[in-house]
Amino acid sequence: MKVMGAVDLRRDKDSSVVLVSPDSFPEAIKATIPSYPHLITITAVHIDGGIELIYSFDNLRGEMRNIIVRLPEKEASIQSISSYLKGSYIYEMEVRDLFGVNFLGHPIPSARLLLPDSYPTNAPPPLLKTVSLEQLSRILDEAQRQEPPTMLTPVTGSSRYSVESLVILPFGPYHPALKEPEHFAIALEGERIVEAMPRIGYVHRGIEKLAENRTYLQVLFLVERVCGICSFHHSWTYTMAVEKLLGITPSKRAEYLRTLVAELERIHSHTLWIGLLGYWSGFDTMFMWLWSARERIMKLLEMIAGNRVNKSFITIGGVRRDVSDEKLKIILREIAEFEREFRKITDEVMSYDPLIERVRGIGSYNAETAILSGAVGPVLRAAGIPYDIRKIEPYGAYPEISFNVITGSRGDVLSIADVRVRETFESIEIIRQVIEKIPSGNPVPPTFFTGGGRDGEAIARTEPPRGELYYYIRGRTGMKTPYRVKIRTPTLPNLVLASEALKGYTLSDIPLILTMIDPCFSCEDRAIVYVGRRDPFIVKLHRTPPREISGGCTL
Amino acid sequence: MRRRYGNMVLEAIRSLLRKPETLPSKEIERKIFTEESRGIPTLIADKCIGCSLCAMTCPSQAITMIPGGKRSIGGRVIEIKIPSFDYSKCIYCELCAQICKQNAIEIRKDQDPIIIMKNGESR
Ligand code: SF4
Ligand code: SF4
Repeated sequence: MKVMGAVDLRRDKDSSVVLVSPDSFPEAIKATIPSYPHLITITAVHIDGGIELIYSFDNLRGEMRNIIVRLPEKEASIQSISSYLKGSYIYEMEVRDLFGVNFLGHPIPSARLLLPDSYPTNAPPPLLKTVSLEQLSRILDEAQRQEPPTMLTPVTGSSRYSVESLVILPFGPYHPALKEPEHFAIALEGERIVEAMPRIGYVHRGIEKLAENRTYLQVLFLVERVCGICSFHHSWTYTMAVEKLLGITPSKRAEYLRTLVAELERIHSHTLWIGLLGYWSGFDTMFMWLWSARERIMKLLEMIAGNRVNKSFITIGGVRRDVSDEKLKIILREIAEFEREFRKITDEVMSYDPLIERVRGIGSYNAETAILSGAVGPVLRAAGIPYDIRKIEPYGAYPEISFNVITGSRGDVLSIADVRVRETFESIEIIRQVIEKIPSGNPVPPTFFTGGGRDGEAIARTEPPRGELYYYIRGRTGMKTPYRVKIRTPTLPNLVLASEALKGYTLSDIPLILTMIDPCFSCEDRAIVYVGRRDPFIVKLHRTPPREISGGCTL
Repeated sequence: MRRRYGNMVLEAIRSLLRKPETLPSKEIERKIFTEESRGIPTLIADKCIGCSLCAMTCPSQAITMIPGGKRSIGGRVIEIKIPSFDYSKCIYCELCAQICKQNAIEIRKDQDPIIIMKNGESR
């Protein structure tokens, strides 16, 4: 087992980095996929007058291989690899939207994934370094003013289905069965789903672009807002990448405290999801029971960090506040209480036949489909693949903690629910060990890191409740801000799997199958800040000019 | 089956006697700050030397430097700028207070945080 540090990809002398030319690129990919079947993501960087694409693969055992190919800035195009790996199409669409790279042979050649349909086709792609925030703000402003919101008729690949027997049903972006805005073009034959094509981006906030305009420390607070549930994992993964880039080592106690908060986050996220499973299958009591049990964990998080959601707990080089021994004792006591409650509820609901009958065999998929779609987290583990970053690339306090990677034997809603229930118990055990083994010392760095970056790049991965989270950071010496921050959230690849798993099921199964992956559409969209309160329809990707000062510093 | 019915009855009785899980709105208003929560940044104007460190660090760019009058620093009298907080942007992260070397920003919990209202006003 190799622990990936990956500070400066190119100086890494082992075979984890392969630089190829666009011509030999298809060969290199073909040779890589058999041994590295998991495509983590495609990272694009606009640098030195060209676009660099980094294809990051994993062999499902924690060894990474990065295939890097350089394309010219103008008319960049490259072969699509979606014929080898189905899941790659969604990353290719992301890069196409944000960097304007053309992927030859892409299954959905013209549709957008993230950018609004009103974004002019002749405008420069937003993530190019030559596009400033002000320019982007202007482009979006004008586009929004000129037309009525064209986002209501999103373009997906559905035009391919002009067969008469098929009905294309637009599902979302606003639909009673969806809690967050996303759109699916669903091809139906009668009641059966033949294909589902996702269109996301309704809550795209431009976080990656904003991150290039803020200091390293400020970005930490920005990325924490990528997702409201895995907020800590986002700030942790970002911090880990920055620490690798700059060679900072946090203290042992800080690592333990980070692990503690991360596991509490996993427990509350899993509990939330199991509650939602009840909600979507019409078992509202189950939803209320679990959410009230979850409240105990939320209070613990508030006690530790001061905040329930965006915890602001971590900082580069450590954590922002220590947790006293008394508080650790309270956590132990409360977690035992939670365990008792959670066990009682899950024993009851998971043996309740109507629920089991409703979810068994729904949205079923096998390990191969999961791997080809690039699925991660409990979704992949339910199909029997023990892919857990905490185990294969240990970080934080995980190297010193013994725990099991929970897997299932088949992929469907029931099996995923089972994996999540067992993982929650495993997390409780991890928390007990963390509190037992936590070293003493001061986890708070004496001064906060406010400096800039240096030349190099770093990758960090963690295992949030929804599955592998990936951050890539490129720094430049003398730059206060990161040169590039790439975020790959777990929902994006899992969405590909969910679209696959929908096939063959009926319309009424859609909410359950979508819930199966525990989707977080905000976190895969991230990135537009809405300002201008007087005219709510003005969109600005902002740094706003200072507003008129309302006098003094009191409230 | 019998056990299940027993449990149901027990659970119902327990729920009847228990405090509600959610807080009544009055209690929420009283409970805005807990012991652990971070509070509201306010300036102690006499201590500030106008170094702008807080404004440069603030993650949500909620601080603007405004003219703060004359101050004598190190024997010289100079015009300084002092921070002004835009509380509708502030995320109450406490970073400014921790970063200020002069301890000129005090975190207070005796006032309500600003809540952005629907019509864009704040209170
Ligand atoms: S409040 Fe503190 S950090 Fe901010 S300008 Fe004044 S002295 Fe500097
Ligand atoms: S508390 Fe945080 S967001 Fe608010 S002014 Fe201070 S640094 Fe800025």
